[in-house]
Amino acid sequence: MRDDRPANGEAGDGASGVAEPLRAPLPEAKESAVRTAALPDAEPRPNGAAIALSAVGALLSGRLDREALAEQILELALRSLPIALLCLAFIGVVLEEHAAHEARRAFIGLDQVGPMFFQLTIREFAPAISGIVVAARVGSGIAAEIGWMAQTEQIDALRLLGRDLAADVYGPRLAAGLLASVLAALLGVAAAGFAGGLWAHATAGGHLAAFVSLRLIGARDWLLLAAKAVASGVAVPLAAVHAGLELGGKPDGVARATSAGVVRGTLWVLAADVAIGATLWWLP
Amino acid sequence: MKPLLGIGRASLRLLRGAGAYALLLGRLAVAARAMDGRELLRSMSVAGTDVLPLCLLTATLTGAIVVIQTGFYVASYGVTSLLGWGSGYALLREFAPLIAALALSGRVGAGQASDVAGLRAGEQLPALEALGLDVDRALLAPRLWAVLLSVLALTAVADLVALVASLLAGVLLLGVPPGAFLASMQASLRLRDALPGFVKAAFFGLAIGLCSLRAGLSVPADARGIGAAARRSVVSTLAAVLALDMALTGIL
Amino acid sequence: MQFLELSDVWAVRGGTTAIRDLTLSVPRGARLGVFGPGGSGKTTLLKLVAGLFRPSRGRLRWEVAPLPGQIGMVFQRDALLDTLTALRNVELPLHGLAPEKAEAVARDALTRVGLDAAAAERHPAQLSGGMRKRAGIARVLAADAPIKLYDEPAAGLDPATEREILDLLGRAHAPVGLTVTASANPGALWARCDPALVLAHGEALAFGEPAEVERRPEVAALFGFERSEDG
Repeated sequence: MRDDRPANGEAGDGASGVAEPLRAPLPEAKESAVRTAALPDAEPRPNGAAIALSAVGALLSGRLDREALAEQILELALRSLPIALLCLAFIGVVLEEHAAHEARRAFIGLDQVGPMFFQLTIREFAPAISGIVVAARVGSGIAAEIGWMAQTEQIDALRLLGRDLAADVYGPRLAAGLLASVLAALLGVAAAGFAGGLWAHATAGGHLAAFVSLRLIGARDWLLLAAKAVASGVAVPLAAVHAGLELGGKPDGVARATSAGVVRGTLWVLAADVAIGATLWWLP
Repeated sequence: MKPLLGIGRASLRLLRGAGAYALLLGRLAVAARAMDGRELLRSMSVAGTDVLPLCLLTATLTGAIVVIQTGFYVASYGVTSLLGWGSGYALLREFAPLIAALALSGRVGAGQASDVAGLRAGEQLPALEALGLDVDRALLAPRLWAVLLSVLALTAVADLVALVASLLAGVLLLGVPPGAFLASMQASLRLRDALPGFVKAAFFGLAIGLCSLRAGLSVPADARGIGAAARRSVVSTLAAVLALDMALTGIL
Repeated sequence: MQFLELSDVWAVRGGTTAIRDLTLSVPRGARLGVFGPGGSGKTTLLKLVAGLFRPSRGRLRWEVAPLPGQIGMVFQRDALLDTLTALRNVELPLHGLAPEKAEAVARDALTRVGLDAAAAERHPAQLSGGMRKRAGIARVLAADAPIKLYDEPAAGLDPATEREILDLLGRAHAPVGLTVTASANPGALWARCDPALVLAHGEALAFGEPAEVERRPEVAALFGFERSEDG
């Protein structure tokens, strides 16, 4: 309970009809038998599954606010691509360095590790790194914005006005976030492959074609890529919307919502990565 | 003509940005000699202890990811004996520091940037300056060096946890005998294999600290600026960490 | 039963008890004033009445449960959408009307609160605090829901404008509905409400007719009332 309450002096108690000076002590709150710690919070907690379902409902019934959707696609999907592709290109170069190092140690030609490099990029690095970048860029953007809307009571106002939050607010962000994740993963494969291949060509005399070779790539690899990209694309914006709604109204809400949105999104990306990788390991 | 102008403007902006970071680093290095020890400890508990659960979780997941990916190859070439070495080597050199830094750039970077922006929005920084307090020594330097020290400590923890997680994942998910896994780890891993990882971690820590402080100092000092600081910090730390990773992998 | 009844209502927010053990009932057509210092639970009470919060314990019952859109509220933080102009914000609750009709109603409401055509086209970030507050009030006046809740409607306004706005809100009161106005500063509002509820630490310090409530020593002490101030 609060402990910053002013101490209750004797002066104010039991005074007669004469008005006390302006700075009167507040009466002490009554102690009661009700254990307030056990009571649920008056503010309803946001429900992630309900948010996701209502957004899907809004999408399928065509109620999604087109203008908001276009704006979010531009802001979340397209504006996230440069940083995502840049990061993937960096990772492509780092991976190529490791591959070249291993090839030298094992006395095999650089071009022989190329296809394996590309396979690892598709299976693991493109989806994982693009997922983390999307969690940072898209997740922080959504969480900060929704957090600000909760902090300034815009969410409350929309709810009271009977507006469809799924169609106007959550839906466009969830859809644009999914698009951002899928685009970043797909284009990220190309960015990492070409960056690594060009780097190999420039520094060690490798061939670009070996580093973007589809020789080892099978249906399983594409399935891994697609499943991971979609899982990140669903989890990251959802975690961010949830964090914004849950924490935005609290003190320091915008900052707390932003960092919680990023952290939870990143963890979901990594958890989905492990779960999907392990599942496909067991599949025939 | 127009694209040329754009390139010129972008490179000027880049130079100006690099200069600002260098100045900030220099200022805070000088201030480090006389910084507030209590604030350093407090910042370390925020950047270190509070982040520990997140770091443990990411390290566990990373260990599992690396072993699963290595497992695909080991199984197809039938050389199970290499699994322990492969995952250990990859984890220590590359993935434990990288993933720890990526996770921290979200948590610490966003938190620190919005914290500093909040101090400015609440007019606490100007108030301290007006009182004649050296803000660099009292507030900024402790935050920067706390992140650096915390990232180093967390990398050590992440290395350990990720190795254990990779062992568990290898045994439970891939069915590799634990003895073979450990033997392969022991035979080929040296303590110095972890060294490049720590060098990277030190640079990552510095980058996270600098980017987040700069983001917090450069946004407008109001409520919306706090959210903007967090977002800007997350993106710039991410880019800095990955660029450093690329540069350092080439050197080390 | 009465129009609105609260029995043994508690509300916990973020580990703190914002409303404790509140029992009161309000008849149809009442103009309830809620007074108390900052942090005494006024906003929480308004949000409970609005249905945005649920009692952690106890019950809040309406004689006839309000339908969506039958409650309008002016929020402490204005709650205008950043992405829309003042005019479009005021049009938000009017989605049932034809666009031209909605715009006319919204413009009329903005004029009534003293915002001109230029201000109507600006976004909330370009308006001063007082202007944003007035745009929020215009949104409630335009919708004209029978139940109106005002959280600090006069905050940030000068005394003359405050009286003007409070008179405007008084005229907007629906005799078939309910108006609840919360304020830390009784000032001009005290004489315009009946009944009055005084909160301290989330508890009802006094509830009843204002003339009777203000004679209570603890209320007089809290707000520094003097005999001559009634008006």
